[in-house]
Amino acid sequence: MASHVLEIDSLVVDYGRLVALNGVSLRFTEGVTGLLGPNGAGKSSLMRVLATASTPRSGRVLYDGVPLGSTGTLRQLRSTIGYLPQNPGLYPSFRVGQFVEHIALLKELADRRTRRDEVERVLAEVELSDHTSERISTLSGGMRQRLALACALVGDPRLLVLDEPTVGMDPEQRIRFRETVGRSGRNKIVILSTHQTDDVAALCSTVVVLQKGSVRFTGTPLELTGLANGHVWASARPDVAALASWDTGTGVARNVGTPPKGAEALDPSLDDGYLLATAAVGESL
Amino acid sequence: MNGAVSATRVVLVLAWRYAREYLRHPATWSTVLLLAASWGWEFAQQTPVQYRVLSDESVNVQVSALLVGAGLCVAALQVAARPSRTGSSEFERVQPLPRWRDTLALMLGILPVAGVVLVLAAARLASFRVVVGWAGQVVPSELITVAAVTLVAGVAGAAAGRILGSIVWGGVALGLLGVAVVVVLSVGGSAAWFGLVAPLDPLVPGPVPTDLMGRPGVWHVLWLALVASALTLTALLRDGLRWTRGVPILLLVVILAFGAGRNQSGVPSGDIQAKRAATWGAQSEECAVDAHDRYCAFGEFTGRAQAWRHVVAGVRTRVPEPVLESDSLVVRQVLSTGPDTEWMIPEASWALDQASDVNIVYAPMDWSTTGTGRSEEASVLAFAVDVAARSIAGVPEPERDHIVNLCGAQGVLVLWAAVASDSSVEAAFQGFQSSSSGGAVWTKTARSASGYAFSASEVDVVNHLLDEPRAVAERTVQGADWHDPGLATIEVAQGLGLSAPVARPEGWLCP
Repeated sequence: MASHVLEIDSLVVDYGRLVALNGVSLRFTEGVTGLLGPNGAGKSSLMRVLATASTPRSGRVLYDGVPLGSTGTLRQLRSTIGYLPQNPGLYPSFRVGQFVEHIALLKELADRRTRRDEVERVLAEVELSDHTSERISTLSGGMRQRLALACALVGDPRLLVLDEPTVGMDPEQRIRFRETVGRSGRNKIVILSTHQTDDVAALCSTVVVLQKGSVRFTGTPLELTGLANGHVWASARPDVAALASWDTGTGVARNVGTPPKGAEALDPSLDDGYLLATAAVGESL
Repeated sequence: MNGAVSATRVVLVLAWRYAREYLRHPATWSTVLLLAASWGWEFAQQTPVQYRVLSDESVNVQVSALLVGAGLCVAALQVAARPSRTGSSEFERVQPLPRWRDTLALMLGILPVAGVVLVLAAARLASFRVVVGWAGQVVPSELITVAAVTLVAGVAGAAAGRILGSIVWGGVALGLLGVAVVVVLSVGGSAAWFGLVAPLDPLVPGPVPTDLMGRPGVWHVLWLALVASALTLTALLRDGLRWTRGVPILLLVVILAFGAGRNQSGVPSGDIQAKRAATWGAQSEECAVDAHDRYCAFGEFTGRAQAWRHVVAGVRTRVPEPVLESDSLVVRQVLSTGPDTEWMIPEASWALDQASDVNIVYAPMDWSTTGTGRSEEASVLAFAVDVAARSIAGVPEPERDHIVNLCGAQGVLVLWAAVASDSSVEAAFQGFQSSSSGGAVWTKTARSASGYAFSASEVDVVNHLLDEPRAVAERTVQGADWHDPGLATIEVAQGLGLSAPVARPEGWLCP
């Protein structure tokens, strides 16, 4: 099977005077791509454009070479996209199976048998098969997120756009969520917007760092971590000259930035790489 | 599968699911249940209301439908505004099914609920046909209006939910719309037709044959359907229906709605209606000869002749042989165009009656056996009194627009013969007394403002007779010697040996 490609070319999104994305160009291939960036970096704006929820001011999004948003193909393209927005908004009075079936109808699964099978499949995928008859209002936060993911998976989309799906989840829920995304994301382009660098480290083959509407980094998580090689050091007390420094609780302070001569180097983490990637332009490294 | 076919199927499946949601919504099922229960309870009564006029009931049932309409409106508002309320709008908007198709499904889902209300209304009207004395006919356009009213209310709720995306603002908008409807209804006249339901034509207070109702029922249904279509199209355009496709259709619908609205409010004036009643009515009266009497009724009301026969036979049975007039009677049904205007009868029939030398009694359009003091009971009592007056020798016929005071033995006999003639008349008599004071009874013939009056004393004697076992009372009256019209009521009472003698003076009616 030929692999799918999603390309973004010079994308500009603005809300009046506020420029959310400023000429962003990216290329996504199959696998999970993590999208990191501080609040207001433009992550959600990018996700909404990819999900066809909003239209960019300029630029193009091409899915397998077909422009996203062209009128004739919009419906077809939407059937290939699974979108999990930041606030998915589930119907509290609906039962789990009932809601997924509603979404299946919105995905134009007209045949009853096919629809029912698909509902069973996606609920099994997110391990909610035992909760089909439960009302959504009775589900925990983590279960609701998995239900929302199930809805995004209906119709077996080739492009999965997940906007901060692990917000509010406890560690166990996040691990289970990773398992689900990892399983479901095979042979798909999965774009995962998150603030959780450990999710990226655990799941993503590629990571993109956005800041102020521009791409600050594209590469593997390892490469992002590598940015911090030689820029993390230990000291007895937090170094005021560092970009960031904190007591680790072990009597040693961890510092990120430009180390002083003779400093004791530490192994960098993805957090360190992200911090350096999003450091203000002109900040000395 | 072809995409368009698939989408159409999906819309139908969604519409059915929305319909079930509407029906399961407490606001809908509670109002449907309330309506069904009240109608069912009424039907299950041992003495259900008789003598219904189906053409009138076809209109009255619309008012009840407003209740379900209001419930459905609330349900549709909540369901339609749900994506906005729960924050799932964005999620739903990026699904392959165009948003406007989902909105279309919301609107189509209202149809089955309107169908349920239509079935209930049809069942109610059908139930009237198993009760004695029904007349008139079900008017299809009026019955369909029941569904159309429900449809418009539901569509208004769904459109408000989709367009405003808020239950609060949608509720405010619908509340204002409801106030506008009530104001339009209270203004009355031709403007009332712009409300969801129009009351029965106030120009003709009683029941009338269907073709004289003067109600633009078809135009009204069309107007309601077009209003529902316009609201639907507005919501579809708001939700992404292509403007090049939707706007021309919306414009066309608005133009058609304007035309239907004008036609529905163009109700004929009272004069025109009176003229129609005089000319058309003559053609639609049917007469049946029973022994030596003739009963003439409008085609849809011939079933009423049975009630008139009972009264005529009952009166004749109760009038003592010596004073019984043996002349044959013509009972003719007449209708009126209003309490303060001339009473109408078919012109051709009127001319025929005047030319012949027959004893005519005019029967009212309405009939009742409820005994609750309603206006139609006065008609029943007046008819029976009129029959009794014609059946007893020496009772003067009132001149046009004059009341004849029937006093003494003659008054007692006329009132007794009338009231005891049939259970429906007795119920009407009791109802009349319970809703009036002073004890006197007045009746007006169906033909004009002329009629008969009985003072409290005559009424008291008749009440005493009614309290006796019927067989005893009848034997007493049959055996009484009431040939002398000058016999005073107190003497009648004493002659009857009533346990409670009449203590009141004759009163102002009788000298």
